[in-house]
Amino acid sequence: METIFSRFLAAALLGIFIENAAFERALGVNVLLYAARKRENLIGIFVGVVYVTTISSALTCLTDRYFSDWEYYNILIPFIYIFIVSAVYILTLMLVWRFFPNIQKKVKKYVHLSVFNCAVLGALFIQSRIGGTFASYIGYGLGTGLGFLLAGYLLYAAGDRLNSENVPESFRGMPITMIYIGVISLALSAFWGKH
Amino acid sequence: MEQKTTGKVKLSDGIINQNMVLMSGLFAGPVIGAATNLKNSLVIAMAFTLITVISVGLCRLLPKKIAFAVRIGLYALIASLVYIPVTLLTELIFGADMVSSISLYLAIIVTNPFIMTKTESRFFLRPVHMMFKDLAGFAIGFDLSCILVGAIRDILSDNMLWNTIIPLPFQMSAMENVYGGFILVGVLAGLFRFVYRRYLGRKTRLDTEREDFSRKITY
Repeated sequence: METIFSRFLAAALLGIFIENAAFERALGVNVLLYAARKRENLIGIFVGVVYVTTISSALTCLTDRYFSDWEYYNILIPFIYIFIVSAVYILTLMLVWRFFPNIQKKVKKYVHLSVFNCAVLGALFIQSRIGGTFASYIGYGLGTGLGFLLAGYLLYAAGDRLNSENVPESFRGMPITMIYIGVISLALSAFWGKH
Repeated sequence: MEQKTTGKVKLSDGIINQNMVLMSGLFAGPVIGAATNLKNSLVIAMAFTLITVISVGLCRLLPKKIAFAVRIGLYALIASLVYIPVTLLTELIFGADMVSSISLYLAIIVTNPFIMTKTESRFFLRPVHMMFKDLAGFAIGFDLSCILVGAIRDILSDNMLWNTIIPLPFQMSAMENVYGGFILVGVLAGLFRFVYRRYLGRKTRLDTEREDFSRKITY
């Protein structure tokens, strides 16, 4: 039990900090830029990302375990993973629509953004390469979602300053946000001792 | 009834006014993460163009009767099927080692925002021939930005362009990393916007600001 928990925790910390999808891999930058505009978007989108990466990771662990020896598995990975993500997305939407129709109306506008984005697919892909146990798959999926939330919150918190008049007009918005993410990414890399 | 747009499509929209890397940052991930040299950037540009154009063309054939939630999933599935021959083709042209070194970024092209969101909000609102023209503009815009970033990183980090030595008195190895990519794309985007605002006519500027505003609302 202790081993399972320690593997889960180690994989989650890896996903949140060391292999952060946004800062270390530049995955899902467009969703970050969109989500960081409003607090409601931020919460809604990241709950979606955390949920989808965690559930899908559990399922991809099974496909990796039973089909990875297959000759054509590597080239079919995107198709298999997208199939899993789509199934999770549609089943969840149906459940939410059935039991929480008000929530479904609220999230309808952007829910597909939180599911079909580079961060979700990228996280599944990276975990597939790292391998590991069922606990580490789920831990990494959860960690990636939480790491993405951390990145989104850092952007949201700095949003006013990045769009302020102190920034030259041409750099206001997306350009300075990219530079800001780059500086955080540089700091994190230095902190973890990456070369 | 299907809503259609009546305005003319300009190639410059995708290449300059709404460039998806330097203007909107809509799909900058592979450029930042994988375009660390000119060869990689060519692989990314080729794969992006083929996967996006073919997938959007095939997705257009899906009946509108299918519910939106299912349709979005089908778009991603179609793109992931198109990914297979495109990857084999890029392996054939550039070699399996190079393609496998950036396979993560090739795989995520299947969920790029042009297939997942712009199809519904932009491309499918136009007649087929105008849709492909619009799509071509965006693809060219992405390809040029990707190749530009790849070439600059190649020169700054290795003092080389493809296999040609470019003698510079310094080397910036940081450009090979993701943070170097973020900072370079941010700086290029700022410079691109500066040149764009300063030298393009007032009319174009106003048009773009209106487009930016509508994009903020509809994504």
